[in-house]
Order: sequence, then C-alpha cells, then structure tokens
Amino acid sequence: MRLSKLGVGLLSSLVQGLLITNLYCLADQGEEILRSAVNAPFHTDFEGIMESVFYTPTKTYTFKTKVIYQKSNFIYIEYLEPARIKGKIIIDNGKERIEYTPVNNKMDKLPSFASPKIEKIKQKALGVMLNNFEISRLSREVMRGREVYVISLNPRYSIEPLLKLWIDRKTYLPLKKEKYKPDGRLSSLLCYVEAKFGEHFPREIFYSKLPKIAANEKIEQDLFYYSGEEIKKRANFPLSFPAYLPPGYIFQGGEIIERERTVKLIYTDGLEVIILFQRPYTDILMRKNQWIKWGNLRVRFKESPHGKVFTWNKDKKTFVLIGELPLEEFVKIIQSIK
Amino acid sequence: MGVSDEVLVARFKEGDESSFKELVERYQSRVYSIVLAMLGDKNDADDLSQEVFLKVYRFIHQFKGRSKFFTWLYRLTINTCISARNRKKRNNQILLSQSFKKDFTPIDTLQNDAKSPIEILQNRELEKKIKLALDSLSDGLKEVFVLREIEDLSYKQLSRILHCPEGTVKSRLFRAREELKKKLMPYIDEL
Amino acid sequence: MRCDWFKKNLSAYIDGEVNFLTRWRIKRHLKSCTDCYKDYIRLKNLRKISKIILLKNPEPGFYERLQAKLPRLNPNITLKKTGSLAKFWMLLPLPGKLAIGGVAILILFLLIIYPHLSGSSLNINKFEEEYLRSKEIFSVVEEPAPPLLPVSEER
Repeated sequence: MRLSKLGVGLLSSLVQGLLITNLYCLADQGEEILRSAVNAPFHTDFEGIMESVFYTPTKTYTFKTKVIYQKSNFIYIEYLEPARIKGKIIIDNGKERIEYTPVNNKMDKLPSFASPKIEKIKQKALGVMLNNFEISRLSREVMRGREVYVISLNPRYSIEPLLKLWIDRKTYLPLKKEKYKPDGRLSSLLCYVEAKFGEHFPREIFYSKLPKIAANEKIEQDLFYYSGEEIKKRANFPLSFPAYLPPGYIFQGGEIIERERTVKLIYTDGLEVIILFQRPYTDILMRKNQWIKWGNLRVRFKESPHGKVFTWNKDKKTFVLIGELPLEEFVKIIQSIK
Repeated sequence: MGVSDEVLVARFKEGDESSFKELVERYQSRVYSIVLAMLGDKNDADDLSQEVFLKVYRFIHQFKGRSKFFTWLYRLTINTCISARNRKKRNNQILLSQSFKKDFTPIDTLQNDAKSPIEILQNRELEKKIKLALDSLSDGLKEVFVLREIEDLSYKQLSRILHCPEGTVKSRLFRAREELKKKLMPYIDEL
Repeated sequence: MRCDWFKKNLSAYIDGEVNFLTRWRIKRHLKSCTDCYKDYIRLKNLRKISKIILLKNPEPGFYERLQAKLPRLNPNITLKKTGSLAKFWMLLPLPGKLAIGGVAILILFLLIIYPHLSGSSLNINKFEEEYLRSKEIFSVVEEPAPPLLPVSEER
C-alpha cells in the first residue's frame, strides 16, 4: 500500500513530535537527576575509594582517595596516593572544614564547603550549565551491582559529549565521571573503584585520625563572594577585568584573599571554572614553566592536572590565570584584560 | 663491671665494629622489650628493633656525648616506634566499615578467676589480658610506663628521653598506673 | 592531710622520687591508713607483674640477623676515621663553632633567600589551591570528592 503524500506528512510530523517530546522529557528528567546529584553527597551515608586520572599533553596524573559521606553535610576525605600527598585528611562537618597536611604537619581550619549556602551556589551554577549544555543521552546501566543513570552532556554548538556521568539511581550520587576535550580525547576520569552505601560511623572515628596539633584559623567569617561593582570598591588597588570571555562563561563572584593583597575573580560556564588573580607586583615562583610572548607581553605558562596556569606582569600588577580551556581561548582572555 | 658505653661508642666511631656488637648485645633485650611493649606484635618488634640498631650504626656520628648513650638510644627507639605506628595507620587502605568492628571492639572485662601468684604469671591467657590493658593506654602514658618499668630510669632521665618536664613524667606515670590498677585489680590484689 | 594527696604521691614514692619530708609523711601515713596501704601494695604488685611481663628477649641470633642487613643497606656505609677537618671542628670550642655557623647562615640567606624577599614572592601553588577550592564550590558536576593538589606525579 502506498502512503499518500498526506500520510507521509502526518507520519513524519508524528515522528518529529515524538522526538521533540522525547528530547523535552530527556531534558526534564536529566535536569531533575542532575539537581538531585548536586545535593546527594550531603544526604547520603557512603564510603568509597575513588581513583582519578588526569591527562595532559605531557603527563598523566593519578590520585587515589578514600571518600566518606555521612548524613547530613559531613564529608571525610583521605588521600591515599600519590606518596607526596598521602595521608592528607579533610573533614567537613557543614560548619567548618579541617585540612591536615602531613608533609608539613600543618592543620588548617576553613569555612565549610558542605554548607547549605554552598549547595545554593551549586544549584545556581547548574542553571548556568543547563543554559550552555544539553543532555544528549540518558540511559540506564548496571555498575558494580548498582543501577545507574548515564548522562551525556554536550555543548550546544557540538554533538561531541564533553561530560559523561554515571549517577546512582537510588541515592543520585555520581559514581563515575568522564570528561572529554573538544577533539574527543579523554581529559579526565574519576571512578569509585570500591563503594559501599548505608554505613554509618560515629564521627569521633574521623577526628581521632587527626594529630593533636593546633589548627591555623584561616578565615573567620563565612565564604563570601562580591559582585563586580562591590569588589572594585573593596580592593585597595585598581582592578583589571577581561573584556573577552569564552562562550557561556559568566562572572560568578569575586573574593579578596591573602590579607587583602589579592583579588580573585571567578568565571564559570557551570562545568568549568576560570579564575583570574591579580595583586600588586609580586615575584611568583613557578617551576617547570614555558615562556610565551604576545606583543609586549611575556607570559609564563605550565600545564597542571586541573588545567593551564598562566602568570604575567603588567601595569605594576601581577596576574595569575588558571582554568581548563584551549590555549587560544586563554590568549584571547589575556589580551583583552584592561 | 665491663667497659662503659661511652668508651664503646668512642671506639665504634673510630671504626671498631666489635664495639658496636657489644653495644647491641648489651641493649638488644631492652630495646626489644620496649618495642614489643609499644607495638604488641612479635614479628614487628624483631624487625623494628633491628631498625633501631641500624639507625645507631648509620647515625652514631650524630651522637655527641652530651647525654648518656642510653638516653639517645631510648629516644631513638621511642621515635622509631611512633613512626612505625603512624606508617601502619596511613597504609590502611581497606574500607573503614571492614576494619571498624576490629578497631573498636571494647576491651574484655577481666574476670576474677585467678588462683595463686605463680599460676597468674604462668597463665598465658592472663598475660594476654595484661598486655591488652597496657595496649589500652594512650601513647604518651605507655611510653613513660614502659621505659620506667623496663629500665628503672629516674624521672630526670625519663624527662630527657621524652623531652618533657619531670612534673609531666610524674603525672603520666601516676595516670598510667591508675588506669592499669583499675583494669588489673583482681590480680594485683592477690599477689 | 587527706588521703587524695597521699595516693597521688604514692607512685612517685615507690619510684623513690619524693623529697625527704614527703617520704617521711607518706611512710607515717601508710602505718595508720589501711586504704592507702592497700593502694601502695597494689602499685608494688603492679610493678612486679609489669617487669616480668615486659622484659623479653629477642629470638636467638639477633646480632647475626642485624649483621646481614648492614652491608645490604648501603655498601658505602663504612665507618670513616675522622679526618683532620673533622678533628679541627671537634676541637674547636663552642663560641668558634657558633661564629662559623652564623656566618654560613648569613651567606646562605644573602645568596638564596633575600632576592626572593623583595616584593614578597609567592609560590604558584597557593593560587592553584585557591583555584581548586573555588572549583569545588562553583562548578556543579565537579568530582564528588576531593579538591586536587597541584602535585606532579608521572604515571
């Protein structure tokens, strides 16, 4: 039976409609899963060993950590590898964060990263991310005996996924993450090689692992981020801002650190973060760097596990720019700073 | 009375290995006893005691003779025990939930089933309980108790080894003995 | 004086670490107080048991086992006879040693540390740590666990 032209038209409209509906459902469902994943670490009893691998053009970096989440807002992290940071412990109880570094036997007390305030910031960042990325695929798999959602995210301008997440169906805890470069190569891989849910421990166990030394109180007040205008007023030297930002990036906030000598400007697209530091002229010690010259500007540059690091001096100020972007994007940012 | 420690050390520094051997034989039991008391494991104690003497061999040139040799040696022993224990803690990569019950099993309450002093001391099971009681002491209390009981060192000597004031030595010994007394009451009453 | 005071000093009394007056007082008190006397006996017995339990010998052949490790540890470890420079250093009195040490430290400071102090130099690691802290807060689907430290480790 040959379909009439009308029949063909109706059929293709139906298929398109189904596809579009499916996409909306995908987007809705995916968004819901991602929102739950943001909160999950603070509302789960979980213990796991995580392996992280980061690929740069010159080196591969590997880390192994023990991660314990406890309801609610409690995080325990212990570095197991590499040897140089082995034994570093982080305990965050939702009110304060204690970081112990065995290499220099140092204990620092910082504001908590597990607070409801930070949860709100992350939810905001999720909104930014969903503007810039779309969920291209959502499926279900079984991983280490647990049912997981597998979500692929790609930037709106490309079909190649930049991020794949494996999220536990029951608790919404991300169990695996693969990040890709725009050319499709794997940039980093994080995966729990051991995972156990539901175990609850008395908190004294974690604190008993810290040595009995005095902690340095690093910041007394909560983490606080200023808007662009506010930070211009509060800085005690004239600030420079980049006129160019990569697509999707917005200014998230500014911070004043290092006893008010350094200003930190934070930009994000929801997935990645770029930070521009600036301060009055300072000698920056940076090993194993290369030099790049653009016009009158001489910039030092190095690759690190979390991205590229640039530092240069201009107008009696020292700048440090860190982020994970193609080199060309950084060139544009640096050249646009006024 | 044999040759003094100081003479043996001086000869050893000059290259006389037989002096080193004599020092080892003179102190091996005491170092081994301290290490065993601090760590509780026989195999570890043997290796670690050897490590102590290897350090003596390698670093004897750092001993300037400003204190007694045994002060330096026991300080080295205690530090080696502490490092070994910390190393062991950091190397633990198994899930906490698997080791949790092992780490936090409360010490068994001691039963009053002893008969006579000789039977008490010959009873291996009881020896284990006494060692458990010792193990339950915190590091600071155990160190000072072990050194005092094994070596009969004065509070002054202990304060030099442990780098703390004599008053601290006195109070730690008092607390260690109070804790052990409570746990071992049935047995020490019968002696 | 209350029994508390006596009990607190019993441990030091048994160790022979109290002064003459305290020793006399405790001795006199023990003659009349049954409770403190019992405590004294317990402490003495504790010492008896502890010494027996604690004093152990290693397995036979301890030195032989140790000797086997000595050359393996580092074949270059040999006991060197003290050279003339070392002898000079050992013979130098303490003020001389302090003077030479002070000069050496001053030279090192001027050569290595001072150039970095002008303009208060900073290590790039501090900025990397700040970056990682913010990354943990500001990006949504960042790794669930740790901020990473800027260490270089080749696989």
